[in-house]
Amino acid sequence: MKRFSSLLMASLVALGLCVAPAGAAPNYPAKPINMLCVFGPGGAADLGLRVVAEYATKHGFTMNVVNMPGGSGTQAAMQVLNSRPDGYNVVFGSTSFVTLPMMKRLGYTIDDFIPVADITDMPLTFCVRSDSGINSFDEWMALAEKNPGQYNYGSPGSITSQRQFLSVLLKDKFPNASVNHVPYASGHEVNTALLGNELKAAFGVPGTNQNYLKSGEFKLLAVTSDKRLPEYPDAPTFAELYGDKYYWVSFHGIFVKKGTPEEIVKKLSDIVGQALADPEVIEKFNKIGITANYRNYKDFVPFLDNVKAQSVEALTLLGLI
Amino acid sequence: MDIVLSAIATALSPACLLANGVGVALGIIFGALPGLTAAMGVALIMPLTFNMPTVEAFSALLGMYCGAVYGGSITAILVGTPGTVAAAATMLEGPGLTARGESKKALDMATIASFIGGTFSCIMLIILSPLLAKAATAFGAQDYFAVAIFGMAVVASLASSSAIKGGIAALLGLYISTIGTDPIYGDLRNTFDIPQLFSGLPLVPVLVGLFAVGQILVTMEQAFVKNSQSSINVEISRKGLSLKDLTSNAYNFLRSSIIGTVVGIIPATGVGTASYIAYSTARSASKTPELYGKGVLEGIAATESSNNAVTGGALIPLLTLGVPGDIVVAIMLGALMIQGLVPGPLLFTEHPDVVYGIFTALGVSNILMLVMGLMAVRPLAKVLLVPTTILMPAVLTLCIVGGYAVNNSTFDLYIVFAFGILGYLMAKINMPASPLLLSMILSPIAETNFRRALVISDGDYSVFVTSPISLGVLLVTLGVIVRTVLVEIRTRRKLAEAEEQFVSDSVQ
Repeated sequence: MKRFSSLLMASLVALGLCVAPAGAAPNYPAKPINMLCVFGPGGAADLGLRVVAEYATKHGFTMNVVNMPGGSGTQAAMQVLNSRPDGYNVVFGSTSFVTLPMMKRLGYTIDDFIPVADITDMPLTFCVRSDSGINSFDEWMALAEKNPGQYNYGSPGSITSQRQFLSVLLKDKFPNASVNHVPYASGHEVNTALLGNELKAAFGVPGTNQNYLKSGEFKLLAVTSDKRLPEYPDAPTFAELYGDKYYWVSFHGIFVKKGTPEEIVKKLSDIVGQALADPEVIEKFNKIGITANYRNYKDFVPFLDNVKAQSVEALTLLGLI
Repeated sequence: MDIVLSAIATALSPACLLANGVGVALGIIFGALPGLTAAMGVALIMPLTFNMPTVEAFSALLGMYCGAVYGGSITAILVGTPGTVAAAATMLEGPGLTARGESKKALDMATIASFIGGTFSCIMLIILSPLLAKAATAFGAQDYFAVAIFGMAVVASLASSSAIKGGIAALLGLYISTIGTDPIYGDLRNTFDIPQLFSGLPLVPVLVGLFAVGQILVTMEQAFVKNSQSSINVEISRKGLSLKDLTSNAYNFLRSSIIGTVVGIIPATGVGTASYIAYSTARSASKTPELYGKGVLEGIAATESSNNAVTGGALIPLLTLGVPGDIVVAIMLGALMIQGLVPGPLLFTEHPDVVYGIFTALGVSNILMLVMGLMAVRPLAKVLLVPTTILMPAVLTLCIVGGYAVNNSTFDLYIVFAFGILGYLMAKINMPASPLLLSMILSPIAETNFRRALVISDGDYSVFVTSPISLGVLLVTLGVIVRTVLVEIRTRRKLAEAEEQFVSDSVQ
């Protein structure tokens, strides 16, 4: 009997732990974590998230990746906002996760979320055809200024990071140039158009341009990363050419609902950090064609503030906010 | 070459063969059951393929496609109702042969003709698409615009039997396609501040609603309200096909397969059109046209080889340009995108493994269809005995699962039901649903490329006529439009004359 009652007590305590407010959360995670991905399955960013989730699942954080590309990712964001701030619903988003609420009335902004960790950053790559004879971004701009309206560039969407970046750069450094932006549905279509001589430049990300850069059909004129890309040591960064302001990457990171206890945020951030330091994970990232750019929940905040400032400047310039 | 061989090996792996076989078997059942169509079958199994490797997914989808196009002939021959629109022309001949106790002969002819047509178009796909893909890098925005406009003109011309209803359906499709984010400037259109609509209406839920749920509601109404569940006899005769039946149709097979492949390549036209054209061509070429309509094997040879020849043909513009050749491959476009693949000329250079895997899978589908058709047509025909009242609720469940699975979104289920009701209402007033879907798919291609061409040319409209491809396609389009209008005027005039005649007769 004594044994039974102690068992009963233990079960009651256990039960109590289950219903206790998540704020205490000593045993987080007690159940699988939903990783809501704003991208469809199969893209580089989605694959990267899956690699991290696989690692975390092996180390006690069972993570289920759920793709919710609906409504340009707003559905994933709303599902997180409609759930309890207990760290079991996490959204994986990119730059549009920050910019979309600035442009449209969504009923939420990025400030309703707590940044947890940055997983990968993609620099933007400005490519031309190798047979164009153009060797630097300055040369390209000189031709564009000489032939107004004739020098255009393509990017994979209508309001892309590429377009935002270039519109700021053009305003600052080449105010007289008239350069048209041509939107496509994907980076592959941009490549096709440059191969077909329809465009004067393709502004993409390394993952989609690399096949043609390696085959020699495209030439990389400049990249928006902070350092030169190891695969293309001859291509300068925009920051080298025009100043540190033009370090501009597209981040891909995870967020939880505001109000989630700091302990949980820290635990999540740490497991991502642990994953991104794992050599096996890094090797898988290389295969996908992305890099591990871990920023923990503290470093991610100032980085995002800079992204917000960049976006506000670009979107105001484009007349979108 | 290694890539090609390993792609073929992938498509022949047990997993892909299983997926393909299941696809073909389900396809034959879907095709055979009145009310279930190829488009519906492909839309329903698509969500199940998301987690499969690409070639395996396409094995299942292509198997479903080929099987369903063929399966319709079973019902057309045995029961005298078309299982799918593809078999509508087969129905003109099949029942006559069945009445004479030659149903096995007719079924075998349909099977072999389907195999010949399907295989012919698969070979054409393998020969033509790499060539077209090479040429397609020269396709600029203005050329894509011209092709899309051509497709829309064809949609309009096909609807001319009930021009106004088809036109309304097409305009509805145009409107629906404007919902979402403007493709060039990124502004929102017709979203009414509903965030779920920001990226437009998702294609699969719309399809499942329009083509599956709508049709299920119509069929259920007939079964429950009108209680028209008739007893069906699916006995098959013993006497099979002779070699002479095949050899005497050799030229017919070739002609019909070519017709089917060409119709497949033309955007917006599909199996229904192909089988009617092939049927009427075969009749006018026949030495015994007076026998047509009473049950001739030639007719079945023509319709079934042409409608299965559409399958390979329709994939040609899909894979090389991203412009679907018919409704079913328009749905497969979605499957391709979900696999992270963008159709277009680069698909051939960046993912030859996938392209050749798809080619092989299509060939395998045709072989499996032949084997199953010849060996298993008796048990497969038994599905016609399953009561509608049991079958349809089961399929409805699949629709709901499928509609949800694409985006894991409850909102998409509302779309499934809304379009299900729309599909039901359209069926009730005899309004065709395919113009809606085709214009919904073609008009964004037209709009985006029109505006893109103007951004590239810096606002110069002459690009549409200075590009030879665009000019040529636009001229053909003009021809299609002029012809459609002339035919329409002539029919109106005839109708008016007949009416006048009628009025003057009754006055006298």
